Amino acid sequence: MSESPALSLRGVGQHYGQGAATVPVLDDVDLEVERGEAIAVLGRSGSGKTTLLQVASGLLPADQGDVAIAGTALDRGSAAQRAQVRRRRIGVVFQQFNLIPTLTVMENLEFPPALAGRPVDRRELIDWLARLGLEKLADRFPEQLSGGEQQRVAVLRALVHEPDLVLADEPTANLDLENAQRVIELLHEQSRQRGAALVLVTHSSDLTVPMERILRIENRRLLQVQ
Amino acid sequence: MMRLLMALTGAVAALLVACGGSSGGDGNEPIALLQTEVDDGFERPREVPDFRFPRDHGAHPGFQSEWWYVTGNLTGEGRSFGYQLTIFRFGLAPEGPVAAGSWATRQLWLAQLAVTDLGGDQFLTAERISRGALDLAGARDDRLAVHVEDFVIEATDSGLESVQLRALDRGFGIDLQLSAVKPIVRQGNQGLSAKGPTPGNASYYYSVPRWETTGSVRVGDRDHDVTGLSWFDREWSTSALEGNQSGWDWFALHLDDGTDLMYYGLREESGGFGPYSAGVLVAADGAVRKLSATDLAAHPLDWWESPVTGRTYPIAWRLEGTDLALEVRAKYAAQEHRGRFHYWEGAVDVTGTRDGRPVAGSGYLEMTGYQ
Amino acid sequence: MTSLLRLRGLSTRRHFASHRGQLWLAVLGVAIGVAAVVAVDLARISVRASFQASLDAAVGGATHRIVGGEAGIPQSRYVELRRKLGWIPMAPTVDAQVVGPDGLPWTLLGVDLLREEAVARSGGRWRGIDGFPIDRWFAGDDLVLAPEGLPLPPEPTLTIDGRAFPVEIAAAYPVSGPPARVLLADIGTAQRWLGREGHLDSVLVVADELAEDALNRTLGGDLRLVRENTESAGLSRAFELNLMALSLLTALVGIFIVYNTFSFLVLQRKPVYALEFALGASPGARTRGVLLEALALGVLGTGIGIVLGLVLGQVTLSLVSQTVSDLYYDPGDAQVILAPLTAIKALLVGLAGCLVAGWAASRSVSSASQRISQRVGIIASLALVAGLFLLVVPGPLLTGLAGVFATSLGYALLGGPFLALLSEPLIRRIPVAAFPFVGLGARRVPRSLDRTLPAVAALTLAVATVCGVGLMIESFRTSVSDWLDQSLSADYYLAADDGVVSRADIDRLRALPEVEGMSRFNLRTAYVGDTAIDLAVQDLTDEGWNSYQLLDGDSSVWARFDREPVGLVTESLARLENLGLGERIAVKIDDRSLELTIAGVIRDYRTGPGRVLMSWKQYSALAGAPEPTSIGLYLAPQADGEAVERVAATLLAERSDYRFASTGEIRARSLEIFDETFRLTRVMQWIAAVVALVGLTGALLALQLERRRELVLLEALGLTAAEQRRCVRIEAFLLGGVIAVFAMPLGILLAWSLTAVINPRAFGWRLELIWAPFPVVLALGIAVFGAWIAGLAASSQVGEAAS
Repeated sequence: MSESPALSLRGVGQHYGQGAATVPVLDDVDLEVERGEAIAVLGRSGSGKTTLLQVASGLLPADQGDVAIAGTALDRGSAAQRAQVRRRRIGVVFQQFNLIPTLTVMENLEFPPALAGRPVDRRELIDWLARLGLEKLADRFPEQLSGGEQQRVAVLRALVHEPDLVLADEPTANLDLENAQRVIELLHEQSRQRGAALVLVTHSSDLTVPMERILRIENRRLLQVQ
Repeated sequence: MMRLLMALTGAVAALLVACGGSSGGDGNEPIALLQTEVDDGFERPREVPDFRFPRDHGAHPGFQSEWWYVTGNLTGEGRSFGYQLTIFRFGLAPEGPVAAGSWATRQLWLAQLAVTDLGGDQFLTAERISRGALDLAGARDDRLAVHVEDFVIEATDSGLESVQLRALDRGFGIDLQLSAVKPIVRQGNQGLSAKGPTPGNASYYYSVPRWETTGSVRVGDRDHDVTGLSWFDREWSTSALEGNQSGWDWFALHLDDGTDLMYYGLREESGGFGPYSAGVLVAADGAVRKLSATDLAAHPLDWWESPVTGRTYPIAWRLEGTDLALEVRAKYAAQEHRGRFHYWEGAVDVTGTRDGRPVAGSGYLEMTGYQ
Repeated sequence: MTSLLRLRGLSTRRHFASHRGQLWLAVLGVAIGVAAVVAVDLARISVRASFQASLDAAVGGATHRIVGGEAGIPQSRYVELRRKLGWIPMAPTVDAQVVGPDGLPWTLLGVDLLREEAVARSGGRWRGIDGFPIDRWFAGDDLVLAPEGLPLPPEPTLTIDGRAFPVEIAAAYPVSGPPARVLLADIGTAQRWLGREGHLDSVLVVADELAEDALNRTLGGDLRLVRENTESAGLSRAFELNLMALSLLTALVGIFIVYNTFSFLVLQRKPVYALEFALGASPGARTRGVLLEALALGVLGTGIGIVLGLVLGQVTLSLVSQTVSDLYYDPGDAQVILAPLTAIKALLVGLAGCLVAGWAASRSVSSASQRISQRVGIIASLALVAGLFLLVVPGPLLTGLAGVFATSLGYALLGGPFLALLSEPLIRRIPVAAFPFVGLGARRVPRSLDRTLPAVAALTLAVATVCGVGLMIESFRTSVSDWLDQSLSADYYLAADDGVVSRADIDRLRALPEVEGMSRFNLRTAYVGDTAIDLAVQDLTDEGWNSYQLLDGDSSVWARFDREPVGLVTESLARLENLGLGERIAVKIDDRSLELTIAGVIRDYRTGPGRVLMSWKQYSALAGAPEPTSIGLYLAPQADGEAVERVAATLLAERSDYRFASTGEIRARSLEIFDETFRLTRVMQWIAAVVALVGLTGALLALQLERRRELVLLEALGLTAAEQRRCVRIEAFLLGGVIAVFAMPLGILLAWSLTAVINPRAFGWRLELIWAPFPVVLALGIAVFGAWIAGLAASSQVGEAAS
């Protein structure tokens, strides 16, 4: 299993709508991302970046092609199977609303391991927060955090259950430059430290962190840029 | 005049079956009772009577029904009133033995009180009904004294010079003293008043045309001291109307030249007053002139539709005779009785000429059989 | 402006087109609130009409009764009354038990048909009968009117005082419902048969204050005017009062649900409104738009609600009307009538509720929600304090009812924020790490409580009502049952209406081997001060004494009872005359006065000013031996009562004024009447509960719509739809539990208010609050189980919401 890539897309095609109103979004996309590897996917608004992440995470079943996470193929017919894979192997960071509003920061961090059935060591979590200077946020509720703080906690939440793959969908879109930089750095650094593959989707090319690969979606296809 | 025509058998049962205010709907039409067959056994007025007073002020249980009927117009303290106090007796059957016990009787009694409060724009009515037993209701033979429970018409002695009326209901009533200023007038043929060609379809009928009246009228919690004039009718019979008569209109008017006029028209189904319509003109000095159907013409002038029963009554009339031209107009339109019987009876104003001289006055008008 | 309005209309239509479920939910919410109000009101009014009809049959519209001394009312006094106060409606009566041709006891009612009309008693119905021999009736022939539907020979024979009277049935009087064995005769005829010429038993009167004054001034001697207050009249008043309280509470539940529905609808589109505001629409324009929507929704919902309420009311009524007609003399038809007042209430709850909710919700878009909940909190607290004040401070019935209403309103409204505050620390103790789903569901509870304040208030109120009214009914029933035990300790009673139970008859019954003990009673009218009371002189068996419930005083009283001049007073008399233990009272009877020391206060649910109890021995010592007006018979253990009943039947045939009854019958009948009477109340509680639960379902559904983004996040975190639904169910279950617990104190407060405040103020008696577990468990169950069902319903929408 360790030889399998963290993420593997083969011949994935996706469209919206039905019949005459069908709008193709992705066409014959192939992609493999190894553990510890960090890649960025660029593209204009509406180019299909978010769809790519939804298919990769199993939130959407792929219309065509195969998706596998760390060697486990996602079952097109079973939302439950895909959810099971997601909770154990994938961490997700959205543009906003990443945290459960009724849980504190600490509880938000405890939630994914509990779901994945992994033991949670509270002290370890506190240490981790402390190392990143976030320990004072532990007992706060999401609405009591700034946007930047929320996104940094979201990054930790995406990694806390030690997934194979982290999918980040424009996680800095709502942040100012300085905060955006801190979040991307944190995401990159923590993914690497924890040995997870990172797929960062963004429309901005002003990435301040070196990525292993940069791809671009154009005309429904995924092109290597660098 | 309603008294006139109510002399019928069916009236009794219908009177009781009629459900006062509670049944709402169509009250009983007196006229409908008139064509009912009469039980045998009751006497009928066929002969010219030999009235004896005070005995004839009392009840005549040999006849099926009779009434004591007072109406009048009163003013005082700047306020005007009309009033009506009527007591009826109905024989359930000709006199005969009844069971032992003080409640047993063949007589039922009904009293009706109405006060028209012209200052307060209201027409107030009340009724009493009782059996003729236990002193709950009845009449005396030794003087005019008749009552139904607490509604009373009573003379202090055997004459009619001093008579009292007492009838007090909740929130209104009368307490009046009357004294006759004209002698008794015998209606029809010396007191035998024929209502149709059939022998016995008649009543015994006398009147006191002018009673000077003083006393008080209560409306709400106020007693008003009043004075005025009243008319008194006494009538008893067993059957009256013919089948083709549809109703009647009865006028009793006091004119300011001292003349009193009574006239009743028996309306026929074909329209207009029939040949047995009649009346009387009593001069200030008490001289009596009989009026027959041809002596007086009556024409309705104005109509009023009751918002409650939907019936339409002519509440203004023109009366014309050889030396008489009067306009009679209701003092208040809504004087419609809606108790056991539906009919219109109320106070009226009179203007016009008598012998070419202008006269004015007031009186009472009764109208039945209108739809 | 116009184009903006048109745009909004368009956007509103599209919004609802794509959220059709939500639209129906809103309409349904309004409709259910309205329906509850209509149904409860309808049932209340219709049942009252039926009750009135059944009471009319027995006592008509009579409000009072004139009664006389031992010999009844001299008839001359009645004539005097008619000749003086003819304007007061009254009807003279003599009545007796006679033996009919079927050998069964019949009631013979002597009436004056001309006066029956005045009191609108069922005797008045003879007037519709064809061919009624009116002349023979009034002439005193031996005629009776018999009820329709009971087969009798045309010329039956009645046995009265041992003599046979052949009579003739003049006509059948119409009855609706099962006929009672009542024969009507002319009053004079009845007097003659009964040998009571010249006397009346009573005169029924319809009197208001004016007539009451006039009568009291005119009556005198031993004639008294007493309020006509039969047991069933008292019960029906109690019943109606309690229903009215319930209908008020249901209206409150309805209002909460309408508000809840609408505020969600508006808040959900908050972003749209914010955008419009940004585009330059004034807040006034927004409010107008929202009010327009509210009006449309209100009209639709109210219309559906009224129809739904009519149907619901019909169903409810069909449940109860049968029992009403089974139990009462003549119920008439229980007709469903939409009274104008009900329609107004429905419009108020539906339309006005929507408009106010719309206005408030529209305002809440712009003002901080905190300020609104603060304001609600202040109003609720004020209502609660004012309500408690009204309940605690003595006052009339109306303020008591207002107190119940205000207390309930305040307490229920405080529920949301208060519970949120209270439950948060508890809920935070559930470790999310160990129980992620339970934890997640639980953590939502405080916020949901706060967000669904009106729905929480509605459920709180409904649960409290089920608990409180349930406890009240149980208390009432237990009290009535205890009181019946106390009043009816013997197995049989024989009473003489006129005069006394004869020595010979007592000996005859006493000689039966089945009769083990006997107690004698002498019941008569006496005066304490100017108050006419019943003086009950009795020699009871020990069993008889022990059944009395002392509200004040202890059991040592029974030892003193035969030895000292002491008396027991009923609660209502003690309250009326302000009497306490140890005080001395002078009981005036005939021409003497008995000085008694009050040794105890006993419970009594009779209406009227009350009674004084004293011992046979003491009375004999003070005033000479009394004659028994009734006796109680105690059967030997395991003895069969049939022999006693047979002897009693022969006594009844000889004495028309005797009345004989077995305790078991009276007791069973009384409790049966009680249960049937309160059955409707129980049905009403269920309506309130079901309505509140539908409201909760709606609120939960709306919550899911509101937290759509959270659901997307949870899906991304790997929760399956089934797990999401589980979270919703857990949340609903806990919500129900928290509300149930919170509602209990209000329920108990309601029960206390009804038993200790409302009933004493209305009737002068206090009910002992019984801690019956059933209503409490039922209320808890309804809340928790109901909430779980609501969660089930709401969670079924989650899959949809998340995608």
